[in-house]
Order: sequence, then structure tokens, then C-alpha cells
Amino acid sequence: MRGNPYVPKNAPASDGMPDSVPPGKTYEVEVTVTWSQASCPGQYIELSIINGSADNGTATVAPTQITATSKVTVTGGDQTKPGNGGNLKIQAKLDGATVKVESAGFTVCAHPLDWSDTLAGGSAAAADIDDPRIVGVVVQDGWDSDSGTFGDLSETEISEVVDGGPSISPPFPAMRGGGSNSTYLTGGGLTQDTHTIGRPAAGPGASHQFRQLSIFKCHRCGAVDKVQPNSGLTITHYVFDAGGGHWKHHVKKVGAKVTVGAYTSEAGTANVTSLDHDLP
Amino acid sequence: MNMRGLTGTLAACLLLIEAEPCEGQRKETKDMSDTITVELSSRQPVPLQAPVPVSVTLTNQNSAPVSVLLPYPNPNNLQFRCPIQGFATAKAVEPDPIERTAPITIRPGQTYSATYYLNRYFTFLKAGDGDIDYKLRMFVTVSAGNTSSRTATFSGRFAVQLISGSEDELRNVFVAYAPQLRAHNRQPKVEAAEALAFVDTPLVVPYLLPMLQIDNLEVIGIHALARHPGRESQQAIKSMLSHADSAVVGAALEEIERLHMPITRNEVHKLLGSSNPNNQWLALGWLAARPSREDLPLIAPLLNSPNAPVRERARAYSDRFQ
Repeated sequence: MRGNPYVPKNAPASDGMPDSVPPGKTYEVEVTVTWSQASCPGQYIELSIINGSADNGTATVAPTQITATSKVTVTGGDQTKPGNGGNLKIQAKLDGATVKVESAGFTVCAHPLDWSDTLAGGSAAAADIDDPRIVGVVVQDGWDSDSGTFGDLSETEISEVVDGGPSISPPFPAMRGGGSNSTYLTGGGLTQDTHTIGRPAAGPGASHQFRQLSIFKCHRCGAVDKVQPNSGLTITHYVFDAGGGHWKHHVKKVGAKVTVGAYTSEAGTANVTSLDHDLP
Repeated sequence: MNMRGLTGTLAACLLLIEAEPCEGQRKETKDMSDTITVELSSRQPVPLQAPVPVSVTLTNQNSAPVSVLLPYPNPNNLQFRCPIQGFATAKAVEPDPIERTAPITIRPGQTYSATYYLNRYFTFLKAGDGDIDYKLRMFVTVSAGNTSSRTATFSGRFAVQLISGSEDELRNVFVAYAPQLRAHNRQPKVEAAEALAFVDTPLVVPYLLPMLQIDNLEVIGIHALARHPGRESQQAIKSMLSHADSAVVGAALEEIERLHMPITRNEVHKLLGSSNPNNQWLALGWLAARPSREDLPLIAPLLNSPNAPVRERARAYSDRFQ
């Protein structure tokens, strides 16, 4: 149930997501009915969601009566509280009286997707960092909730995973490269990224690229280290000759499909370029 | 006793206005003096070897809201220097490779405070009074009409007072942070972790161990325990290889390698069966750095992993034995 990103049906098991559905969204489930003998006229299977509560969350199922194998729709209601994941179940009763089977447990929860970056403050000048020791840019991060309501992400956390090779030095300060994870920060509040490097030397021309994507965890369903869909980005610092031996630096952050470690994400949305910085 | 710390606070404020900073700072400090003030103070005497807190207080002097980027911790932008010989030795401060933080909005006339700790920056050598110089670089945005942003640099000096303390007194200081480690809000939680993580005495080890069981403090706890690499710390670090979060597993493997901790190959083999593909990927990297044919049957299932990077890493390792 669900997929990563969320899909309303046929989620691939390889996504490894705990069974869950976003609030206000639906998921199609096939319920198999096998009568041990020909059913009598009027016999039916009643479906309901059990264990709904303020802690476990709520969901509904439709239709509530079936007589043969059917595809039914589960709709997420109130979100599950942390520590109560997986307690909601679809229950099937014969003629509304005898419990025949219950599904595996599931959770109602929203997850983040679709990362974006824009210049902080709305302009390259406002976002610029041009310090005697460092140069770079500040970007405003953004993302969405798969429920469509950003406030639903309050029990998710997001970590950036960044990797880059060793720098070319000069012009860049020596960096050995390698991957890093940022601390997990709440998915319920937007953040800003500061992309700086030590002030490069005035040439030779070179670039230094980092790959970035985001992973998340959800305290409602228990998902850990799941790739945030569409969060791939590259951050590239350039040292270039602007003419007449006048060396400059700028940094670009753009959406791109990237792989870091075992994580792969499709491109996020960004097309950010800092101001040019005079070097040295 | 507290007067000295208070005086230090006032001195820091004055220095912001009167100090003659280097060329690169002059413009920014002057521009921002009308917007925001920064005060650093260490108000209470603390036992030598205990966490040494420094309160950083920002005040918005502007008539419009101001937002600042003040990461926690902040090794890239908050620097300290001790001008007194023999009082403290500077530590090598690891920069934070990813600077990501939620902007802090301060309304006109309001303040924001956070408590940083000097133990990340210094090993204090003796009890007594000492001055500490600071420099804080901060991205500041004023949201009035046209939004304007700037990197401002603040610098100044404040005083700390260290007193002699017994081991029991130190333990009492450490244990006082235990409830804060479990705070629901991130800020007090990470401040408590920061307080304990860089303490130099191994007496702190029992008070670091709970961090390994607290969400989002595991990595800090692993690196903190690795600074006191006794048997108890090593056992605790190795136990984190079973964690679901791959940043935690990665931190444990990093310290196991750095400290040359004895570890059986079997303990890493278990990661190959993790439900987290990045843990499998880390394990393959660790094993490939110490190649052995005995791994081949265990990595065989990963040759068909649905995760392409895992599959490719397993294939590359396997091919080395062909």
C-alpha cells in the first residue's frame, strides 16, 4: 500500500514502504472472496476499518458490502499519532456478523516529495555570500506533502545527503570529498541551505560539483531513510576567466537525477545561479 | 561571582559598536548594528572539565521582523579564540559539510537565545578566570518593504570562570542534562547533546550512552563516545551496527575503522540483510576494503537487488574474485 512516491494503486513492493495512505487520499485494495460452497442468496461480506481512534488515526473503506472478489478503496482520514502506526486494519465479516479475516495493519500519514530551491530573499543579491574568506549563495528550500497539505508533514523529518569528489586545488581549497548526511530536521518547517566554499584562487579555471538528494523518516508509519521523490540536485562551483585575466567565481544549483550511496532520486526543481564573485 | 560574567556580557556589547574590525568585517558590522545586536556571555562559574555554556542572544533592533540563519551547532560560522596562554588549548574544529537550517524570525524588539558550549573548541587546562574572543558570521534578512539580506560578522570578548570541582560534582553536572536529552523540542535536546559530547573527561561516558537510544542523537553519541574509546564505549558503538538509520550505521563503521576496533566479519555480514539498502551499500564498501572470498555466498543475493547501486557494488566486489 502507498509506494514512494504515493500512488493510488499497484504500489511496487520494492519501494519497501510500510503500509500506509496519506490523509484525504485513496488506495485501491483487492479483497479476495472465496466461498467454501455456493453462497446463499443475500449472503455478503461486510468490510470496515477497525481500531480507528484519535491515536491510531481513521480511515474508511468503500464499498462496505461485497459478494465476490472486488477492488475496494481505502481513504485516509485523521493521521495516526507517532507510536501507533500499523494498528488500522480492514476487517471482513460474513453477513456483518462473523469475523472472517483482517488485513495487515496500516497507518494514515503524509510524506514529503518534490524538493525545490530558489534564491533566498528572492534575488541573487539578497542571497549572495561574498566574504573575504568564503563565497557562495543561500537558497530557500521547498517541498510538498503527498496529502496536498503541508501541515500534515509535522511528524516527518528530512535529511539531506550530499556527496562530492575531491576538489581541484588550485583554484579551490583542498577538499578530500566524500559523502555526508545533514541532521534530520522536521519536515513541517522549511529550511535554507548555505552553499559556500573557501574563497578560490584567481584561476586556473575549474569546477567542483556536489550531488544532493533528500531522505525522510516518518514517525507515524515508521519509515526510515526513504528517498524523497524528486529531490535530486547538483551544486557546482565554477572558477572562470571573465576576460582580460579577470577571474571570477559563481555557484549554480540545478535539478538533476542523482545517486548518492544507495539512494537515487529524480530531479528536483532548481535553477539558481549566484552573483559573480571577483577573485581572489 | 556572577558579576564577572555579567561584565563580560556588557563588554561584548560595547565591543560590537566600538571594535575596529578588519577590513572585511567593517561594512557589515556597521550596517547591522542598527538591525541586530549579539551578546555572548558565560554567566556562571562551572567546574573544570564540565560543559562550559555560552549564551548567544540576538536582539532585533529594527522596526521590521528580521530572520537569521543560526545553525546549531555552528562550527562553520561561530569561532572562538582564547588569548590567555595556559588557560585553554584550541581543538581542531571539524566544519559542518552541510549547512542547512530553519531561519529564525525575530520580531522587532524581541530576542532569541541559544546556548553553545566551549568544549567543542577548547580543552581547559586549569581553574580560574579567562577571556574568550568570539567571531560570529550570520546571514541576516530584514523583511521591510524590499527584503534585504546580508552576511553580518560580529566579534567581541566575554569572560568565563572555571572552578575546581570533585568527580561527584562533575557527575552531578552531567546527570542534570539527562532530562534535556529527551526533550520533545529539538533545540534543548541538541543543546544537551552538545553540552556532553565534547567534554574531555571519561567520567562523562555513562551520560553519553543514553544518546544512542534517543532519536536523532545517535550519531552525536557515537562520535562523542569515540572520544573516550574505552571498552564500554567500543561495545556501545559496535551495538549501533544493528540500527535502521544508515547515517547511524555509517557513523559506527567510521569510528570502528578510525579507532581500529576489533570486529568480527560476521557483524558486518549482518548488514547485508538489512532492510535499508544504504546499510547494505555501506557493508559492501566495508567488506570490499578488506576483501575475502568467504563473503561471496553472502553477497550473492545482492547481485539481484532491486536497488541498482547495491547491485552494482555487489557485482564489482564479486568480480574481483573472478
